Amino acid sequence: MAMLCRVAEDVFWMSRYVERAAAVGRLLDVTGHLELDEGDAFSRRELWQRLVQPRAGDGALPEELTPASGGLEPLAVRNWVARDLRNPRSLVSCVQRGRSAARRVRESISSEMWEAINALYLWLAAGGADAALEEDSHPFYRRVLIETQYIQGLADATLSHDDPWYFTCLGKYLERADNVAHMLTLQAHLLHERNDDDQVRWLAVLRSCGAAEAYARYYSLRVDPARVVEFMLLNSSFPQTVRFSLRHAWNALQQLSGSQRVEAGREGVTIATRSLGLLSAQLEHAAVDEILESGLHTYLAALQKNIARVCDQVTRVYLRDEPQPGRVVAVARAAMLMAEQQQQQQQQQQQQQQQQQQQQ
Amino acid sequence: MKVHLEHITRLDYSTDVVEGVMDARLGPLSDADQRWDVFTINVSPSGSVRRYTDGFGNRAHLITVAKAHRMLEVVTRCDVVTTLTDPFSSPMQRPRPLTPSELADCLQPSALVPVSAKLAALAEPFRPGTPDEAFESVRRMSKFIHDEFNYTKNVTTVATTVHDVLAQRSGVCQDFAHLLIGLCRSIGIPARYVSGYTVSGGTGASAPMPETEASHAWAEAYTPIYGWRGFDPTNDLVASTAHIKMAIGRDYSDVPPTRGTFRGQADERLTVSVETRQVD
Amino acid sequence: MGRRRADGVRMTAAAPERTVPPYDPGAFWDEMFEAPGIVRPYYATLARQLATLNSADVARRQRAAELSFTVRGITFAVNQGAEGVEKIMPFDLIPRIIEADEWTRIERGLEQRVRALNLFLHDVYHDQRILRSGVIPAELVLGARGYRREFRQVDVPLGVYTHIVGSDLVRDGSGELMVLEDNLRTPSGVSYVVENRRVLKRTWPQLFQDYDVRPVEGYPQDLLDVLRAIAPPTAEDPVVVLLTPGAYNSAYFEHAFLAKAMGVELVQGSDLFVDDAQVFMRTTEGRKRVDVIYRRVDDDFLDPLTFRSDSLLGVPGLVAAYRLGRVSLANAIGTGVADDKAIYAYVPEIIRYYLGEDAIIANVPTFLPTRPKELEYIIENIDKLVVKSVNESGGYGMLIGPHASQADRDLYAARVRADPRSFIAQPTLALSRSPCWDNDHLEGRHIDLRPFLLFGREVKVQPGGLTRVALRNGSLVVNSSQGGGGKDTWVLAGGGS
Repeated sequence: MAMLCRVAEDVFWMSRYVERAAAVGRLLDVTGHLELDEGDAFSRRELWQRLVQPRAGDGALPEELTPASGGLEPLAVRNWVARDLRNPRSLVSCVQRGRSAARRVRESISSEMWEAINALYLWLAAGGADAALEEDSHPFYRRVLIETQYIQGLADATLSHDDPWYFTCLGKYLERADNVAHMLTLQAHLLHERNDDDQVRWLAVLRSCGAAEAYARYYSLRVDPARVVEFMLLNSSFPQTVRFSLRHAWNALQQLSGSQRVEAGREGVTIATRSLGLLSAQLEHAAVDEILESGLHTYLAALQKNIARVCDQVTRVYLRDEPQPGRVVAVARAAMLMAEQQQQQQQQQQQQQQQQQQQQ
Repeated sequence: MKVHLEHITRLDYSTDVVEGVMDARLGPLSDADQRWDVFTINVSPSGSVRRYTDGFGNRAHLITVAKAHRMLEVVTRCDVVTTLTDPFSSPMQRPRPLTPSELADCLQPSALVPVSAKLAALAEPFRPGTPDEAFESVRRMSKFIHDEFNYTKNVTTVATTVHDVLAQRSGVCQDFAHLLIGLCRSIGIPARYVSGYTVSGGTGASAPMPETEASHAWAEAYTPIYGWRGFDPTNDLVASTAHIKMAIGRDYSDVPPTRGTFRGQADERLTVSVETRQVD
Repeated sequence: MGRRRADGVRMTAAAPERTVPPYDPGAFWDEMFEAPGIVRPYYATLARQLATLNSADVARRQRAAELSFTVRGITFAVNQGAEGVEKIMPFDLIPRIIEADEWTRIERGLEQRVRALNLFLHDVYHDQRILRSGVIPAELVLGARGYRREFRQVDVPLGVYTHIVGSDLVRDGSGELMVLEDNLRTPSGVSYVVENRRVLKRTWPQLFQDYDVRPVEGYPQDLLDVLRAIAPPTAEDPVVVLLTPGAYNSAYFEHAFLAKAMGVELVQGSDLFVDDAQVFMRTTEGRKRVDVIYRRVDDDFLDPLTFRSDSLLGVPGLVAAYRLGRVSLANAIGTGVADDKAIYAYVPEIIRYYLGEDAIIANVPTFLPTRPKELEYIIENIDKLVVKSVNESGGYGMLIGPHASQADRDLYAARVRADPRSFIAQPTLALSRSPCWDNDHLEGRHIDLRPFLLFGREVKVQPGGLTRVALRNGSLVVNSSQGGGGKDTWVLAGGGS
């Protein structure tokens, strides 16, 4: 069933934000846990600093979080990542943006989904994060995790498995693949500077992806860096891995692009399906030794870039018609034309800024 | 007079655009004083053209080109026969009284001709003593505008109101038409806006100024004896066979020859050329 | 037990169980009480339940109702344009009850009114017989802000201009129902009718036990029928969409609610485009034809080529496509002329002119400053009158004479003199009151009623309507933008209770 491009875009992003909120929650939880094992202030600080490593497309950090301001205090970092609305990737921001997108498409998703995401938002908006973070942060992250998973479960259980649902899958799995790659990036340096804490750190990577139990069951071995990388990138049956995520994203995209349904002349559809297919196939046939040999950091950077490119192609093909939207009202005299165009351009710029804000 | 007419509107875009929509009021318009024959309208690249009648009774065309394009050209061609050789002779039949709509449209202020105390003061000396003098009043006001205001291009836009024209005492045909409409309405003479063309060599008090663009605008005023007559303040003329009407409205904003939108991030350049040629 | 009278139920002080709650109806016409201690018969069962209430129980249900509205996002935006100011409409749990007989009269009165107004709309956009005959001044109609010259001489499907109507009814001190104003453009509130019922059923099912209340949930399906009925004849299986200005609009919840209930796409202007005089929407599978647009966007913003050229909410070419009959709009363009507050004063004459009947539901007496005598009356009596701006709504641009300061009265008097066409004046009505729960007891609050009417092949009035409550004590302003709330409205099935 066809759906409006604008609605598809919001469904896609709603799903990404929910997945992102879960990932941020897990990362914060695990970091808070890990912090307790660190003896000195320096290590604690170093631990939290990793969380604000800039990612492509992110804006600058606020002044109090720049190294110039005398180092990053764990508490400041935690607040920035957990609930600062200036941070578009903070947990609270993600929920807020996901909820805004859901509100815009509430007629296209199930009431159950909308109410669940709205309830999570209302709880946070009423200061849920502030109260919880002051006291015990673990129950807070846990609740966020459970509610986001509940929302994802509702998507599977209450949406017809047609286009809107495929867009939630596409958003969720592309986001997840990107997040796992990012988690690994944060710890990639450990491969070179081995020390006693490695065991704990790599375990933390697994925990950040909710994969510690699955890993243990799969390998039944001591935590080993190469195995962790292998598991998180290449395991085919655990749903939190990159390989699994990309395969399911590709499935969703294939369902969406069933050739007989799509208007002729939209080559973009094939391009997006092809790049995601290639990316997925790479993961299906990769070997961890080769990845480590070529350099994990380089590999992950390329992977994230490819995921971003697919997202971009999907957005362009399905979600916005090419060329970029924008309207110019033209009338029959030159002077008027110029004045109007300036006005329109300003409006377009404002619109674009708003869109960017909504989607980052 | 028989005139062959060709009007080309061309839009060039700096990059591909889609979903071009153009609302055109380029004729045809036939009434007691003129007849448009063999009217054709061509659009390239190929798009769709739908003719409809707008709320003012004008023939209009909705032109759409959905696929990507960098240029849109609309060409209208037609032969027009104009018959009003002597606008000063009163018609054989007494003119039909105006309908409530016509009265309201032509007496009430409109977007580009708002209420103006200044305009009312200017018009007051021209107020006709009896209804029979109305025609002469309008002629005198038309001459007043022609004498007192400067024809200057590029000082006004399609959004310029009579307030602005009064302040700067200059403008183009469209501004002068608005001014005359405003003056007429101030003293209770129904007046409306005509978008059209002029042809050199027409009959009347004198031929239109040669510098005037072929696409032109003037005002029509209703007087009890003559009914609707066109007054061209730009040329200080009463419209006759040299004036060809394309569309009629309360002011310019009701009847721009073309108005349109597209989707895309392109700059747009508009060029218009009109050729009017007397056939016999 | 009480002694039953023909017109009410009288309680004795010695009753073992209270059957009437303590309540002071005051000097107003009260919906529940015909006199202190005497309940109208059809409210008796409800009154008995209310009499035994304890405040903890009501407070608990009240909280449950509010939570239900909040979590489900049944909200309106107070300041348009800014996010984060979504509010729920305050909800009073005590239902307002309307008897079957009275409802029948309301239905007939509204149908008569809306039929006459549609004939009026057709006339003023075509031959203008009513203007030529002098029944209503031509300049009043043709100078109205809502009159759209661009829409003259269009033959709309079924000859119907206003498919969705929400007229406001009030009761004056004598209990007489009157039309306060007609909303013929994009009336909102019907989603609250359905949601208020849903929430009351969930939070207080016991109230419904002994009443036969007519259901209101069929509205979206009826609306869909109307929208499909007005599709262009060329459309075989018409595609209907609902056009919204977007998520920041104050009625966005309602737009989403109706779109979902009808199973149609909720579109914004940027989702639509016109090609070959046909409207299409942009979908993930390419373009898809649109035949009927239930638009919740004002005329001004529908089409930048015809109305405001700065509008980004609209669809270029839409008006031309509509004129060409290739797409249908609900409501039609230009219906605002018929709910203009000054033209409202002429509705009884309009009904007589087109239908040859007297109005079944009366107008509120209205003074027009455009009539010199009435202007003087308004100026002299401004301390007793309500003065309303013709071009504003939602309770804005209004002077309530008796409650206003002398400075404000002077200000309005000067405004009315300077621009008579932009104002009307009406006597200050002693609006009827209905008991509302206030912390721990019942208090009388002023109310009105907005029934919703659909007009396609026939006229159908939704059995219910939005009862709006002025929640501040003594206030006469029921608009939700001004702190008004809502009540569930029960229309009883035939025969009364």
